[in-house]
Amino acid sequence: MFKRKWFAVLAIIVVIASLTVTSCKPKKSGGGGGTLIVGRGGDSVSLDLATVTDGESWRVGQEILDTLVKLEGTSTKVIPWLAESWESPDGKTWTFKLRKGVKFHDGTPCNAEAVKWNFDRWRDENNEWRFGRTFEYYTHEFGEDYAIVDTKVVDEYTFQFTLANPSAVVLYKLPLGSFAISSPTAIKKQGDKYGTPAGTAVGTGPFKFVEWVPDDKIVLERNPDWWGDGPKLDRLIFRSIPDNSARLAEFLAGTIHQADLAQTDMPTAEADPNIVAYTLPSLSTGYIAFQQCTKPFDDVRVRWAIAHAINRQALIDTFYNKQDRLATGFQPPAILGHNPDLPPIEYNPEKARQLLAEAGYPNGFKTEFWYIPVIRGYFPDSKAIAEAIAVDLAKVGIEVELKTEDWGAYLEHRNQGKFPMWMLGWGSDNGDPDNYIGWHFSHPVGKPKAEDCYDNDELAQLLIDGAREPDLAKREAIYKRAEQIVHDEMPRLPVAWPANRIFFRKNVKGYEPVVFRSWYEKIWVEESK
Amino acid sequence: MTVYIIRRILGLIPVLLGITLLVFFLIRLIPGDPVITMLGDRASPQDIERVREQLGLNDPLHIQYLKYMGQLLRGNLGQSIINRTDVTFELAYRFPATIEMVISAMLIGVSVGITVGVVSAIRRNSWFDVLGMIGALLGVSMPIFWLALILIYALAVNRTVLPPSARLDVDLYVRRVTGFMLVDTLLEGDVYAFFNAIWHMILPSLVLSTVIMPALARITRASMLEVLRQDYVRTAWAKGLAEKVVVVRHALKNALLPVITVIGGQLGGLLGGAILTETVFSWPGMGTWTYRAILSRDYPIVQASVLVSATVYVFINLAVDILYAFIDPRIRYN
Repeated sequence: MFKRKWFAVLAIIVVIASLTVTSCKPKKSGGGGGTLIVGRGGDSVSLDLATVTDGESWRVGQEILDTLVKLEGTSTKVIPWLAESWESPDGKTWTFKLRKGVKFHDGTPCNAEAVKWNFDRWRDENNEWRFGRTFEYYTHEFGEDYAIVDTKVVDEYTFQFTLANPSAVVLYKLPLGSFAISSPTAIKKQGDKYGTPAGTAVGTGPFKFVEWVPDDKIVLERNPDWWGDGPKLDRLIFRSIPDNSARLAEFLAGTIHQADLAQTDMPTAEADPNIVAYTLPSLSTGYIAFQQCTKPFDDVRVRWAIAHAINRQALIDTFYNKQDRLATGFQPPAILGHNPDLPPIEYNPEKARQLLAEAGYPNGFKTEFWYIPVIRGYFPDSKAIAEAIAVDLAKVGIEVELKTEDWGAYLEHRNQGKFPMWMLGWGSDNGDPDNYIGWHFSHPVGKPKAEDCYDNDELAQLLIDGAREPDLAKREAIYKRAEQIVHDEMPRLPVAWPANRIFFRKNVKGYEPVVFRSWYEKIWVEESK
Repeated sequence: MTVYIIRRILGLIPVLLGITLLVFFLIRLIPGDPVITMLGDRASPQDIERVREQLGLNDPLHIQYLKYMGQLLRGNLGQSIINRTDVTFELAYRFPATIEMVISAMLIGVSVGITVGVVSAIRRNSWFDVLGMIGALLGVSMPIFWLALILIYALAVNRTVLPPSARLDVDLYVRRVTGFMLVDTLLEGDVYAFFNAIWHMILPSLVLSTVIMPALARITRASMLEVLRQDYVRTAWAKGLAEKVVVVRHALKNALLPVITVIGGQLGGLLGGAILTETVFSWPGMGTWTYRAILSRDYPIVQASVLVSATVYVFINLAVDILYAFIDPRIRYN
């Protein structure tokens, strides 16, 4: 009886103590900018940004690491960052003058040697500091046609690289997170732990790495020696909260200051007076694609019949937010080469039937339509949208069997060209058309991609020329013509341009809506909760 | 008994061998390429092929299996395909997190479940019995993620009584030594963080305990009713022994055998990871880790997770069997 009483007393003390102690939280002193806590749906893969392709890694890593140049944010204009200036007389050899006196967080200098070391690590498959990792973005963005064939230290703060061929777009690639500069000393010291939760990431950015608890949080702290203006925040914390409802709950409770929200949760957040929503221009397109090695999709009349048969405006009105727009072309207005003069793709089931009859399918046909198994801004409810499309197509005699599969398998089979008709989307990495229409339709002349078998020599050559043309006005004209071809031949039926929404608590100050970059170095929090 | 225990532990070896074979080949039967998940929808076929080659995924399956077993025998659980981190390193984070949540949930679930079951049995058909069994039914019927979200909204959003997620307040830093937050905070000497960790554990443990409580309450009640009907219990009553002595020393001890079996099964299952609870509370445990690895075909993580779960199950079964022998002296393993 004596022991039981004491046990009960102890249990009561523990509970009261934990409730009391936690309400008397010691106040931390700081620089005045507070702590910003971001709630996101998943964790980063790695902070060795050169080796990743996911946005969650870039998002954190780009606060720790700087790139040579950056996109301005309210436009896709390239601005100096680690490099103060640059020149290229021929589009092949690019010379960058670096900021003087910039140091990595570990105190080592960020000079031309350090930058060259990074570039060599990306471009040389036999580089000893790759630890068997893949450098996909370098491979894709530079590849064989624009491979960096040489790097040079001209002087302590002047770095130069030479491409295999002239490129007008290399400046738009360099702001990508994959081309951020890490400390060579840190990589050599940490080996294959660099960028993982077992190691750190070391750059020149406004924030320094503090800790990474996998699937929980990544904590960054202010770099008081950053070369730029700021940061104001004392700490920047990225939390992983996988469940959408739980993330919304925390956002409403104020335990996080910024949240990535599911489409269905956005109206709830918008209705909260303590939350501010910002809308950014669309940088993505949801589309339906066709496999042109499969009949009847090899016939442009059939593709146009499908375009006329689907009431895309009704899809936007039903399944998307009011800020999202019906796509009138492949590239949204924010991307260079967007063509506003394309004739509208009208909803006209009669015309659809007429085209089908002309193509030799007066009674329609049967096919498979594959919809994505994941939620994306460009198709927020893919199954329901696919069902609505199926209903529209049935009205003109096209009977579709709806199919889907696991995301990894979906992408694999799409690559192999196994889908006759499928939905997918695209989000721009850097606002450049080479990363948009160029990505989708570039192929060696005469060698179409397996996924859609679409082959247009004029388009292929236009996209090669567009990537090399240094004159902005000429580039725009090239891509507008490319858009026209894609519109006329309908290898993709564009459906939606979803807007980007950013949500902050009201006590987060200093944010300006920008694209392709964060604004964390200018933000501060008035109180921590 | 010692020989029995050694024999059971040695028996683990063929069990684990069988499990490595099973999980190795089963997960590779699921369609989908882990390299595509890793590289994303922007990867070219050439990139995918190159990475597959690099990771040895193009080797014949039996070669891949032998390489995996070679690594395993050297104590190496491999590297995650997706983010190239050491699986052992991640396991050292995840498993303690799951253990902490599960143990605290079990403590609540076992103590409340058994108590309710015992009282319901000895006060059969009383209001307590009726309410207890209704409560058990409700506990079994309620989806756990629903309960979790309701409690989060009630106790963490509308009123900030308890934190909604995570193991510790986000701005607290505790050096990881064991991975058990309660231990590491004490090793750090950070009393505030210790109690903060307890505070964070309350809600997920309460929610998870509702998985254990109803089953235990019902099985304890049924088992107790069975035992209370036995002659030796009637004799104990007839001898004039106090109710507490009859119930605890005579009845409960004999009623516990099936209860312990259920506890063992529940413990083994939960230590593999309570996915829904971990997801809603953003608890970085085994469940969410394994689930995401299955979705992304991260073979090394799935293999390691299943191996750990199987090992835990075998040891828990052994512990349950040993406990039988202590509770019931008639049970002996020769």
